[in-house]
Amino acid sequence: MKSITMAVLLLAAPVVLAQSPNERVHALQKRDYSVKNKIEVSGFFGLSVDDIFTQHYSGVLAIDYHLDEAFALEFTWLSCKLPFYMGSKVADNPSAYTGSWFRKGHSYTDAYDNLKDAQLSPSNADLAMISNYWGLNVEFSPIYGKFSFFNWGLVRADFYVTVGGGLVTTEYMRPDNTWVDTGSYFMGNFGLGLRVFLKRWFAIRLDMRDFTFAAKVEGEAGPSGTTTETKIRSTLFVMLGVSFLFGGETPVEIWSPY
Amino acid sequence: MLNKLTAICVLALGLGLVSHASAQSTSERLNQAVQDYNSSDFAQAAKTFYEVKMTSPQPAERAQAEYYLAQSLFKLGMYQSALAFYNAVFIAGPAHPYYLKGAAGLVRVAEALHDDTLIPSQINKYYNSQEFARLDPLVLSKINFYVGLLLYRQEKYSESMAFLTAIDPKSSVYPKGLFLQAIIHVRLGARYNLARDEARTQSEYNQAIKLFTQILDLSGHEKAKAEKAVATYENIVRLWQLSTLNLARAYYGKGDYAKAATYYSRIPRFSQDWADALFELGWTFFMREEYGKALGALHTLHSPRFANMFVPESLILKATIYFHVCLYQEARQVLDFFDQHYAKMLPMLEGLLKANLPNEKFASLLLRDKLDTSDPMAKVPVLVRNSLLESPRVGKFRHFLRSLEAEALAIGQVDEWKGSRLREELAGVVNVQRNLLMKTAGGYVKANLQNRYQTILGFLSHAKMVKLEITTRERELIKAGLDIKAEHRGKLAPRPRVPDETYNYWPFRQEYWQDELGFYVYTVRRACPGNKK
Repeated sequence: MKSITMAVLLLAAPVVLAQSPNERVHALQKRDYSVKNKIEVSGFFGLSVDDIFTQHYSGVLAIDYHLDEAFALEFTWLSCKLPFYMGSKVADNPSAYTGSWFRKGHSYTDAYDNLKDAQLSPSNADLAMISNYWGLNVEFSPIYGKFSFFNWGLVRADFYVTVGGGLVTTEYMRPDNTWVDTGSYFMGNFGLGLRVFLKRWFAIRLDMRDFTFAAKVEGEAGPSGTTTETKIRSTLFVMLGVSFLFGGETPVEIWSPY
Repeated sequence: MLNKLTAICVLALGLGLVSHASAQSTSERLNQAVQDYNSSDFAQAAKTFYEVKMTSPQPAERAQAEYYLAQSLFKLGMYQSALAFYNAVFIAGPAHPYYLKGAAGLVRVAEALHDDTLIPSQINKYYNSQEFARLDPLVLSKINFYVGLLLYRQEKYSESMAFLTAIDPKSSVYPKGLFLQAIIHVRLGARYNLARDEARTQSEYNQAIKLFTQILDLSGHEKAKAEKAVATYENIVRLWQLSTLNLARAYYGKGDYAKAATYYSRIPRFSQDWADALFELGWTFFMREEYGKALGALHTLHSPRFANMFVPESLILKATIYFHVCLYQEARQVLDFFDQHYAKMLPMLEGLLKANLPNEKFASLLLRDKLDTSDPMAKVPVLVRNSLLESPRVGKFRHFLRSLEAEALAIGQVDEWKGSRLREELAGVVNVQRNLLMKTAGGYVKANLQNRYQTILGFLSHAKMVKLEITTRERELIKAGLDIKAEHRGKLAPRPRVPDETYNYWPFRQEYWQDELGFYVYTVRRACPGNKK
């Protein structure tokens, strides 16, 4: 599918070449950026965009193996915090700890502050934030396209859908600014992405992924003690990164005489 | 009487003394010139060698001075001037002590000037196989190649083959010799084909295929060997491509269209030979009755990338394909385009050719980048001019002219030669050669314009025949009660199947994407009566 034409590469055809209703012209083009059997290593910067109370900043490492031109398996590590680092324990609460520098980035949004000002508080489940995620995805690229910007050149793109799951660790911050580790559990995700090839070995990637997990947090204290609250949370990430491709078919070189 | 005798004796004695003094003087000057030559003062050396050549009473000195004068001029980059003296050495024959060196000098000048016509012709005229056997085998190989090329151009194929097969495999021109031999076999194959001698046709094409394959095999088909071949042989990368193209042609000549298509498709996109390959691929697919692919190849050829190419036959081929698939309206449209773009050139070309212009007037078409509006050559259509400029011979003419102009300038700038006879003589040599070149280049242009004129004229009559056939077929359609419009006869064929996942499919929507050129395929309406599918 020819996706978005920013400029026509060559001028319009002479009159004799205008297509008649009795013919169709097609281009059956050998792909010049085959990804089959290639390994792709990508690094992303990610940002959550749809949470009401939380804001994530993350680094993402992805390693893809392209089974063919359309399917790939991807290992993903998304990290909003140094893994396995828990900060300083709080003496009276073994699940809580203090310190913030070890998180790569987080914040609670204005909505959280507004609620606090109104003497209200969102549930702890709404405040749970992803710390680290390790998972496997399957990627399918059914759509390809190409772009040309004012005849400066031609870049090719693959559009893909991705789905997968893996292990996530989450945390939330209590009003006393101590962090509570909620443990690890399964997190699923699905998303859409665009891979723009600037070279056969180099691409820019833009991903949107929706991560869904069941946040298990401390509920409100009752007569029988503290309850556990579970809530399905969904966080949409926008991720922008670069990738490098290795292996696969090597292009034919000039010395191979035709 | 006695007085007269005495006077004669005195005069003779005097002359003898003068002559002796002169001999001493020239021998010293010769030594001085050799010293200048050895210390790379070639301008001064040339001047002195010239004086010795003109004044020495000793034939051996004159011969030595003549050869080293040529050498000095060659070292100064004054190739045309050097040529004059190498040539004098060479045509003096084996009696000249520097005869063989003169022959080698001629080869060097031919290479420097990119001249594969005038010097080879001179060498051929005075070719002495007995004496040349004493030459360095690599120099002799080059001589054999040049003479073989010359004889090939004169269509003396068996004589040419004799020279070409004598080229040493270690020579840098060895692949060129193989290539010319193969081309001769192709020419002979075509000739036997016309005479309907099937056995000899096949034999000639097979020999050509063997030789072209031999050239490709020089690459060893691996990087290290190919790089070695590139370092050893002249222009081998270009020859590999030309061999591929000509392998395709040889298979086409043999009637093996599948293999022909394979080799045509190997010509790299956007390379020098790609347009030729596309056009010939169109013919190949036509012969295989793969009309969609044939139209696809022509679609690229008719894209804006090749808008300024002279391709009249491709339009006739396109119309013929439409005719074969009963798309008469489309065929007529292409022929009308041919009339508008090519047939209309005929009156102008005819006018130029019949204007009795001297050959020199035609030369500006090749040798000038910009033409004045007053220049008759400015009237030549861009398509025709481009078709002439594409020829490698044009590059050689231009190189030769630039070289002569630079040489004329350089001769005037050598301080040591101011007011000397050497400068006058060299300036004269270059000027004469320049005039000759103008005439030769002009003759080349004139012959090619004549050729283009005849080509268009020939295809014009072909176009008329196709139009007549179309009219007949349309009349038959009407008689059979069928609609004359193809839209009402038959269905459009489905889009072509994508061979595998390594291919991308793009529909063509009236815009050419550079990356899609060369990958087009047509599907057409099955419009022939009786075609139910």
